[in-house]
Amino acid sequence: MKPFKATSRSMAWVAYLSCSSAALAHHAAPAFFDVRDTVSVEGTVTAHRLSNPHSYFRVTTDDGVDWAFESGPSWTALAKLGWDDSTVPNGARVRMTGNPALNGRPIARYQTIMVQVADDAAPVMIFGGRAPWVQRAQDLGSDCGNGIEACVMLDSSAVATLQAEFGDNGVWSALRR
Amino acid sequence: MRVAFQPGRSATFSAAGPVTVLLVLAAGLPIAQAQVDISGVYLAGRAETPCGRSTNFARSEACPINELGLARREAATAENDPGLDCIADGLSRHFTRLPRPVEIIQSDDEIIFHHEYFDVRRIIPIGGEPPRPDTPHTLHGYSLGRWEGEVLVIETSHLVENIHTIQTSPMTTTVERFQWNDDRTRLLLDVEIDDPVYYDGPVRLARAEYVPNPGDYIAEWFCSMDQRELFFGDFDSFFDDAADE
Repeated sequence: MKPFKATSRSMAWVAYLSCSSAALAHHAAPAFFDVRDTVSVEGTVTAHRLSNPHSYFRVTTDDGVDWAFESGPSWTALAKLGWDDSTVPNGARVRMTGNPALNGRPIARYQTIMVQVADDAAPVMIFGGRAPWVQRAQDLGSDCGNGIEACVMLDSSAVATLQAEFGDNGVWSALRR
Repeated sequence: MRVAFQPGRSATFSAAGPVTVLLVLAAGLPIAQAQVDISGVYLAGRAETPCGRSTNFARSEACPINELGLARREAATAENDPGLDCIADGLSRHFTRLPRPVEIIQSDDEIIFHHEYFDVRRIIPIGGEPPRPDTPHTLHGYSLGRWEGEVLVIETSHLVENIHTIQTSPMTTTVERFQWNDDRTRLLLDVEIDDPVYYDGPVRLARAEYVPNPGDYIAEWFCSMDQRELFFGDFDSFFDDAADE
């Protein structure tokens, strides 16, 4: 199944459930990233590197800080499944969570991505498979998975439900700027 | 099962039975090697190592790493990860880096493993010549294959040192055994790694499964040569370059 494209205006929310893990990654994730820590960053996608062994999104916060978020799967794997630069396009409003780089740079291996794609200020969500709210999101939404990066479409009420049920427990974890 | 004749090659096994083998040997004729068809595209599962991060690299019965090996492991850092320079993982590390698409291309004389990941192609001659003394050490070494019944056995030597994930030395040898499961829905891989330098005994990886995936294909691999810039150099230029691509 091809992933939901952020250019669609028919859906307010989409959730991709990332299967990103060391098993799929080139880097030995624990050597590069602190897998025990999670950062959340909100901002705008300002650049892509669609490449192997990983792809990267640059997210610029409202304060002007640039973050790089690395994908677990290779770009080749994602591209075969229909990902392209419109999946999470430049200019999209996003909230990313991931494991931060050990060397202190503003880099993270993403676990979750929430992307705003519609005019009603609701984001698309792309997030990791190990978060406690993932199963609930799957229950609330409709599947749009592609085998490597699982995907759930959520409407605004579903996201509100997630917020109410999980609060800061992963869905809206505190931002690190 | 496909059975192929290998003219001019000595046989390691015959599916025809011991009497036939003796008769053929007596006649000086080439013997059929039992070759099972394993060709196709797979999603290759990973083989868990008992010497990895999940066990905190600790020495154990399953991971007989020695003091020298433990000390050498300290040299493995994010900065010297060869992947940052688009250098493939090397054989031992490759086993644990899956699942990845792989195509197995099979003929009577050789088997080619074409991994999408880093576009690695391993050419395994069946019943080929042993390595010459001047055989170079490489990331994926020198491999020879043979059939033991319906099991493909691949022995590899002449590897370069690898200090990441599964630590190996130039003295490392590996034995891979591929065979179908009972209902032929999975190709099973068992790997044993021997290294007299860094280990006091063999390291056996957990069995990996190759799942046939006939709808898949091996896509072109392209690699970002400047990942080091992102992690250790000019962060901004990493994405500035993207604008030029």
